[in-house]
Formats: sequence, structure tokens, C-alpha cells
Amino acid sequence: MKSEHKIWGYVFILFLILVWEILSGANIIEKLFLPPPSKIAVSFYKLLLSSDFWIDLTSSLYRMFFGYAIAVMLAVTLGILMGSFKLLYNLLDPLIEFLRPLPSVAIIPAAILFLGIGDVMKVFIIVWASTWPILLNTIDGIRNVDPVQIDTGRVFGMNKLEITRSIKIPNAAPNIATGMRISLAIALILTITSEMVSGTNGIGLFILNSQRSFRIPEMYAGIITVAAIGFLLNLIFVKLERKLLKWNKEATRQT
Amino acid sequence: MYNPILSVSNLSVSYQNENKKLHVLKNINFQSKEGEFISIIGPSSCGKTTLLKSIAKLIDPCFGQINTNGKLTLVFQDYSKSLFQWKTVRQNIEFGFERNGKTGNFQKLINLVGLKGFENYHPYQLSGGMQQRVAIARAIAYDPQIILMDEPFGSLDSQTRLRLEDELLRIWGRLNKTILFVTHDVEEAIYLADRVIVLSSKPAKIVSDVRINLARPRNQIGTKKSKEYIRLWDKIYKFLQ
Ligand SMILES: Nc1ncnc2c1ncn2[C@@H]1O[C@H](COP(=O)(O)OP(=O)(O)OP(=O)(O)O)[C@@H](O)[C@H]1O
Ligand SMILES: [Mg+2]
Repeated sequence: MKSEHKIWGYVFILFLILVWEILSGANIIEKLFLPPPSKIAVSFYKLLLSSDFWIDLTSSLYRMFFGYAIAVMLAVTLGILMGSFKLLYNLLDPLIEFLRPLPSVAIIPAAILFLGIGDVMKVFIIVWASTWPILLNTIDGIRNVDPVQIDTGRVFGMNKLEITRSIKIPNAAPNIATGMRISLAIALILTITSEMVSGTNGIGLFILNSQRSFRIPEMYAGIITVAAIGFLLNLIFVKLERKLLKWNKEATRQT
Repeated sequence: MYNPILSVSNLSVSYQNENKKLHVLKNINFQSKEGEFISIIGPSSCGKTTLLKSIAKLIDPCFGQINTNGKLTLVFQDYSKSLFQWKTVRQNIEFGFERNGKTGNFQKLINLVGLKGFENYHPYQLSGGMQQRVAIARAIAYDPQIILMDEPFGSLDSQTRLRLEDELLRIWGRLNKTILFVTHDVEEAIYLADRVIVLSSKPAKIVSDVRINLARPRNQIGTKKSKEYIRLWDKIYKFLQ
């Protein structure tokens, strides 16, 4: 039943593309700035055959995953510690509340000063931005484990460390996953942004350069590539999450 | 006298709420011998859970002493919150074996609690009565000498409840465990126990400690019709007034 509903959503997208094709083809909208989808599709296909494009794509993905992986490890570890030790939480929480709302792009100039314009700076920016949602969700998840769960651990003779490892972390897993899903999108945003600000390769730079040299269909092909990456990554993540945390979806539905 | 497996002496517990102190338990004294089945009954919110939690060392008493001569565990009233939702029935029960540090006979245990065929289910796929049986099996797997049970059948329908009472008696008959069973149901208290400890309302004191000399094995129909049962029921009911 659910997939039937989804089909209409995809049909609607096709319909919009068709309208776009017609409007752009008849030059009702400016062809130069918004070429018809058919033209974009052709340049997209050409792109797929060019090795430069694949270098851009892989270097973007590489930066993104490198930064994301560091953010996950850092934020989950710190989040578990902050969720477990009140003292550490009280020490760091005000700082986090202050830094978190800061738009990550605002620190790029400062990051360039310290780290240069290379990959180190970009990865740093990605780590910076992706850390917050994972950190906050992990802290939340660990702190809000039902007291009955913790008491259960205690009446089975577990110490604090065992309770954290075997009871708190699994209980917080759905929150951690939510944070990781949000950060996946953020990592992509910051990858593209940092490449546009400074860079020698990457999809972000490709989009910017295409626009500057007035290769408009290529620019759109680049944008579509980014959209596709975001869409696919989220799809894979949600599928994995559903499979691994099925118990949570079902268990919370029941109550 | 006998060597008690559990002894509670002069236990007093109070909670600190903001600036008010709430006295919940007041000078509780009792002992239990090994293998005994004790029901604890008392009015709503008199401190029954507090008593079990104190015995399980989940809360510190403000006065008095608790001595246990062996390992104990607690079966919580809120079974769905106490089970590990990410684990299957088998994994939940095996948690008890792991904590005991020994391999146990899983097949025997799953048969004992009547959950054969549901080993790979998750808690959310089970009815309330089945979930409570998983919680009980997990406690048994831990192989404690003392099992504390906090209104384990309180939220079940009466039919399931009667059945689980009988199952619990059957299991208890096979294993030599001391059980402290909290309930607010007079019938349940008498039907299960060797002794019923009656608590007053808050701050709870022991108002009576009634020996139940009903023959075992008991059954829901015969036992509850006997003169002695009715006499005990009257007696305990009056204490609760
Ligand atoms: N953690 C706590 N902090 C403060 N007060 C508490 C706490 N836990 C329980 N109380 C209070 O102590 C009293 C006794 O609570 P307890 O849960 O032991 O009663 P109970 O006899 O188990 O109740 P019920 O029949 O509802 O299960 C209640 O008035 C309750 O409000
Ligand atoms: Mg209670």
C-alpha cells in the first residue's frame, strides 16, 4: 500500500520535468539560465564519461566520509562520556550550547588561517559541523535511558561500566542513529561549501567553475549529482537503520 | 532458631522531596528462611516497592540493616520497561546465564516458563503475560537464592494472572528459591505464600505476619474454597482496613 502511494510521488516528479522541458524548450523560461532537462541529461551523460568528473566525485566523497567518520567517532565517544558523567556534562554543556548555533560556514575563514586551504581545513569543517547533531542526540539518548533499565542492570550485579556498555548504549542507539542521519546531510553540505570557498577539485568546485565559465548545463548536472548523492546516502542509511533498529520502531509503536 | 537467608532489621526509609521529608518505611523487621515464599501486602503507595528496592540495594535506607545470605534479583512490576527490547527472548534469558557466569540449560528453562517456540521473538511481539514470563525466566537464569517480585502480575488480566500464579508455584516447587512477592491482592497473597506480611499505610509498619498453613499443592478452586483460606482472607482483609 505504501509503495503505491510513493509511485504517485515519482509520477509527479516526471510530470514536473516534462513541464520544465516544455517551458524551457519554448523559451518561456530563460533557456540560458535554465536549460531544458534533455540538454542537462546530455551533459550529465558526457560528464559520466569524463575522468575529471570522477576525480571530482571521488575526492568529494572521500573528504566527506573521512570527516563524517571522524565526527561519528568523536561525537559518540564524547556523547557517551558526557551522558554518563554529570560533572563533564556541566563543564561542557554551556560551551556546546554557545558553539552549536554558530553557522559552521562562519568559521571557514578562521579555519583557513590555521589549516590552510587544503583538505585538512575542509575535513575539519566537515567534522565541526557534523559533530553537533550526533553529540547532542547521543547525550540525550544516554541521559534518558529509562531508570528501570538501569535498575535492571544493577539487580543483575552489573557495575557502572557494564551498565553503560550493555544497557545504556543499546538503549541510546536509536538516538545516536538519528543524529548520524542528520549529520550525513550536513557533511554533504559542508563538503560542497568548503570546496566552493577554496579548492582544487571536488563537485562543489566543479559546480562553481561551470557557472563561472558559463557551462550552464554542466552546472546543473553537477547540482543533480549532489542531489543524487544526498538522496542515495540517506536511502542507504534509512534502510540500514530500519534493519538494525527494527526492535525500536516496533517497540515504540506499541506503546 | 533457623539461619535466615534474609533479615531486615529496624529498616526505615524516607525520601527527600525538595525540602520535605517523606517517611515511607518505619522500623520494618522480619526474617526469611531459605525456600520460603513470603507475600507482602499493603495499601496502595504504602512503600512496597520501596521495601523491595531497599532489599535489592537500589536505595539506601536511612536507618537499619539488611542482611542477605546469597545472591538476589528483582522482577520489576513494569516488565516491558525492564526487558531488553533489542534482544530476543533467548538473548534476554541468556543475559541471566551470562550474569551468573555459568552456562545454563536454556531448553529446560524455556520449557519451564512455557515459551517454547518463541525463542527468537522480540519482547514487543509478545503479550504482557509472555513478557512477564521472560522477565521471570531471566531472573531464574541468574540463579539467585532470593527472588524479589514487585506485583509481577498486577497489570495482567485475571485469567492470565491465575494461570501465572499456578505456574509460579510450580516453578518455585521445583527450585529451592526464597521468594518475596509484593501484591495488593489479598487472594493472591494467601494463595501463593507460606507467610503473608501485612503493611500499614504510609509510613509503613508491619501490622501482621500471618502464617499460611494451606496444604500444597494448591489449586485455584479447591484451596480458595477451604475454610482455612476463608478465615485467613477475613483476617488479612481486616488488617488492611
Ligand atoms: N524516588 C522517589 N522519590 C521521592 N518519593 C518517592 C520515590 N519513590 C517513591 N516515592 C514515594 O514513596 C511512597 C511509596 O512509594 P512506593 O512506590 O514504595 O509505594 P508502593 O506501595 O509500591 O505503591 P504501589 O502500590 O502504587 O505500587 C509514595 O508516596 C511515593 O510517592
Ligand atoms: Mg509499587
